[in-house]
Amino acid sequence: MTRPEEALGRAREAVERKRAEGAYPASESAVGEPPSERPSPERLKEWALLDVEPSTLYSTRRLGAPITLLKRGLLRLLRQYTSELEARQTRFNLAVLGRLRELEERVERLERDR
Amino acid sequence: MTLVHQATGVAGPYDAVTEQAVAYRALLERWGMAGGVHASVVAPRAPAEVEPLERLAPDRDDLVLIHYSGFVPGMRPLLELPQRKLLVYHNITPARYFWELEPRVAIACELGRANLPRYVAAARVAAAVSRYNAEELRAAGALDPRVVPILLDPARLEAPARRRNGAGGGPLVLSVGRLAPHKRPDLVIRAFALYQRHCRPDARLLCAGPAVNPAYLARLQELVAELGASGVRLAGPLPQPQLNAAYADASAFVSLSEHEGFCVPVLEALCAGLPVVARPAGGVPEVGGDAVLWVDDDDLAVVAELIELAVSDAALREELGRRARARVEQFAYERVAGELRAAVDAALAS
Repeated sequence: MTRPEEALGRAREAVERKRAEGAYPASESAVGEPPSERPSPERLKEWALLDVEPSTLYSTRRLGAPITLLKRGLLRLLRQYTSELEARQTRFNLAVLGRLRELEERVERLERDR
Repeated sequence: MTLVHQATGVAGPYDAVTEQAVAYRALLERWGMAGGVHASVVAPRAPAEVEPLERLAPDRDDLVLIHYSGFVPGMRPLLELPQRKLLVYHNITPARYFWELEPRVAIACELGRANLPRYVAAARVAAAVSRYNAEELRAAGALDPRVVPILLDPARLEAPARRRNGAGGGPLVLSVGRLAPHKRPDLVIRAFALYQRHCRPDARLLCAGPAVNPAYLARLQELVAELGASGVRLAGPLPQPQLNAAYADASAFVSLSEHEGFCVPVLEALCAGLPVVARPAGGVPEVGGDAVLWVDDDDLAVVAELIELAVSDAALREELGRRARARVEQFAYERVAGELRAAVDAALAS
C-alpha cells in the first residue's frame, strides 16, 4: 500500500525509472508565471480606469425620456463591445503611466548622480 | 429587529462569492436577521435574490456585511455608510496574471488590493475565508481578523452514488474552476496529456468552469490539439446537478492553481470522496490538509504519475477517502455557521 505521504516520492521514482526507459520527455516542466507588470501611482490608475456609467447617458431633448431609454438599451446591448474598447483604452492608459514612472525614476537617478 | 444586509461588487451565475452570499442569506433567515443581497453589478442570470446596490437601504442599527473580492467603483459608497460593517475577504488574484489577457480584470485586482486597507478601516470586524486570507487582512491593517471558512451547503452536493467511470471509457480526471491564467488549466492539460500518453491511453479529462474570455479558451483548445490529447472536454460552467454527476463519475481530481484564497472545488471533491492531486498554493493546504496528494514539482511527469497512483492504487484511494471524510468534518455546515454567527455578533457588539 502507498500511504499518501509516500505517494509523491513514489511518483518521482516512477518518473525517474520510466525516463531511464525512454518514456517521458526529458524537459516536460511547468511553464513559468506570466510576467509581472506594475503600473504606477494608485490615484492615476484609478483615473485611468474607464468605466461607462449608464446614468451619464441621457437625452437632452425635451420629452427625451424614451430616447434616454433607447440609448441605455443600446448601451446594454453593446456592452460586450464597449467593454472591449474600455479594456483596450484602459490598458493603453496604464501602459503610458508605467512609462511615465520609468521616466520619472530615470530623471531622479540622473539628478542624483549629477 | 437588527438585519444583516450583504453587499458585493459583481453578482453572477457560477460565482463563488455570489453563491456564498446566497448561502449566508439562508443562514441569516434562520436566525431571523436576513436583509437583502445587493451587488453593484448584477450580471444576467444572477440568482434572483440579488438586487442592485442602489436598493440597499439599511436601518441605522442594521449591519452591512461586505463581501470583498476586487475593486468595483460602485462599491465606494459602502465605505461612507454610517452602519456597522463586517468585512468578509475572499482574496484577490494578483493582477500580473491578467494584464496581457484581460486588462479590466487586472485593474480590478490591482485596485482591489490597493483599496483593501480602506475597507478594513471602515469595518468593525474583518473576516476571511482562510488563515491565508486572514494574513493578507492583517497586512492591510486588520488587528484581529477572524476566519470564517466557506459555507458549503450540503444539500448542494447531493450527488448520485459514486460510479467510477460511470459514463464508460477510461478513468475520468476532473478539474473544476474558472479557466483563468492563475489556475493554470494549461498545466492540467499538459499533465493530463502525459498521463494519457504514458499511463492510461483511454483516460479522459473534464475541465468544468467558465473561461475568463473566449481568447483564453481558444488558446487552451489549441494547446489540446497541439499536444494531441484525446478525450479532453473544456465543458464551460456546469449546472450543479451535472457537476455533482461529474464528481461521482471521476476517478481523480486535479488542481494546479498557483493562487487560491480557499478553493471550493477541492472541498467539493473531498466531499465526493475523490482522490485529489493538488498544488499547495495559498489557502488550499488549509482545505485539503492530509487528505490530498500535494505536488509542487515543476516536472509535470510527476503530476502524471501521481494521477496514476490516485487512480490505480486501491488502498491509497481508500486511505484518502477516509481522510477526506475526516477533513470535510472541519468544514461542516453547522461548524462554519457558528463561526459566521460569532463574527456577526462581534460586529454587532462593537
